[in-house]
Amino acid sequence: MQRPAASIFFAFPALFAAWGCSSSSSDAPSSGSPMPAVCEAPGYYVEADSTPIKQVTAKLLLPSGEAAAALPVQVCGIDTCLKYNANQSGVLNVTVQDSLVRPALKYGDGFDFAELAIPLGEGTQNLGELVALPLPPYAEGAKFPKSGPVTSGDVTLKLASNATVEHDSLTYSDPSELVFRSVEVPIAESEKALPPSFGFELAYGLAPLGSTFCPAAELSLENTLAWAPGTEVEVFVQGLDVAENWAPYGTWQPVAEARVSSDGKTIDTTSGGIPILSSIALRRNQ
Amino acid sequence: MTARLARPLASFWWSCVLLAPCLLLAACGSNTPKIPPELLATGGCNSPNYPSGPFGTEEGDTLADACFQGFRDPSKVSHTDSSLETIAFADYYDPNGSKGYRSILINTAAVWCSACRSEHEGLSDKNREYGPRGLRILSTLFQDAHGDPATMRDLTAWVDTFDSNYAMVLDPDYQLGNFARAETAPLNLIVDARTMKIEKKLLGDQATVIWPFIDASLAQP
Repeated sequence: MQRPAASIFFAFPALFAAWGCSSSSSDAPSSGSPMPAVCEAPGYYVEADSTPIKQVTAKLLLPSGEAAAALPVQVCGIDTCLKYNANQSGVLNVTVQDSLVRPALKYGDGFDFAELAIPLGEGTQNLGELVALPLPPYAEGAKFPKSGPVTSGDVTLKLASNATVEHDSLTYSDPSELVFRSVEVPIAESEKALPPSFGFELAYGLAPLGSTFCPAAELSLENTLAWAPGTEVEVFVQGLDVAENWAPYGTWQPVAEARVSSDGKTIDTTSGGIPILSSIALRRNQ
Repeated sequence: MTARLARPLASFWWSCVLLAPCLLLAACGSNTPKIPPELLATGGCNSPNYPSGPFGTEEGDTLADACFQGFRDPSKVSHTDSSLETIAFADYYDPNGSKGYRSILINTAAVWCSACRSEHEGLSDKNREYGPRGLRILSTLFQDAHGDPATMRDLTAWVDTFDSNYAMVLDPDYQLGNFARAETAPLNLIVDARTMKIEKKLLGDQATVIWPFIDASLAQP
């Protein structure tokens, strides 16, 4: 219960930042290319004590129910990261015996699989079954335009005409990997990463991880759950980066408000936007 | 790969030719040259003035020498193969203070390790602050985003991303594996440049421990 409360506490500066970095048309020169927008990351770092972790176990499965053999997994705090792979049966059973600051289990790595994070508590952690979500092949990914829409599956990002897009080319060293890809996250089977207390109803894993958009990209989603036209929606991103520039590590940060279109076909952001590619989740306003 | 191996191999061959013809016959005369174990133990380095062993991996132990390929100051050179140089721990050994070195921060990094990346976001500023007081920073990049050995491409992207102004080298063979397992990063060693003894060994980016410790070390006469 504490995490959602903390996220709500952070909501206002995040939304402010998302709005603040959007430049209005009056900022742009009257001719030629518009001036690139400038954004400042809100930053969410807070001091915290370390958490002693003994052991982490989980069973990693594909959506088909088969084992997610050799799936890359990290036990990563904001101070130390430990890298593992599930075994051929999808079993993760690692003895950590270390104290990490705000540790989380991250499964998937943003290459072949979407990445999600589960905050870890003290001692031995048995996370049960986790569903790893294969991303579409790179060949099916969409190249990022300088501005305008880019779509993968149900998810469309809309880049402003003065948008600055920065990719994590340290992680994605091959330019062919820098294409937009999305996969839907089954909420009911991902409760460790999407705690029910948040009330999320729709979620997607996105890649390439860590790409930032300034101003924040507008978001448009297929209204796959047939929410009524005009329904107000909150959009969150998950903090997967320990630098915590755009979202607090391991949890969810509200970044935008959205509404179901009048024809009921799409869910479109009305304020704020997606500042960084990560996993995203939506819930209807209560 | 070729560029990474070229210099150490060249040094090795010169040693064979100039210093040890017999060794050349014995060790270099086959299609699969054998590097003498005493050289392997120090990463292929041969610095005669470096402290003698015994060496160890814990606080109070003397750090064994090791050699790497990398950029001594990436802010001053092009990030290409031609700028690579061999950098050894021995380069920072300063027994009488003639080089002005008092402490060495040796750090490991991997592209997959977001804690390492977070640490490096502030390391150039720390180098600017502490360098004039006698600190030298050397960071070894050992794995890429997939956990495979780091390459020249990774090194270049790393120094570009973090605007590094301290020694940044490749360690694809993970020579520092005796200090910490490859699946754990970062590792930070604080070493006394006058003795090459390990003063502090820390797993993780423990900034609240590392920098006060370095402050205190540099303040000592």
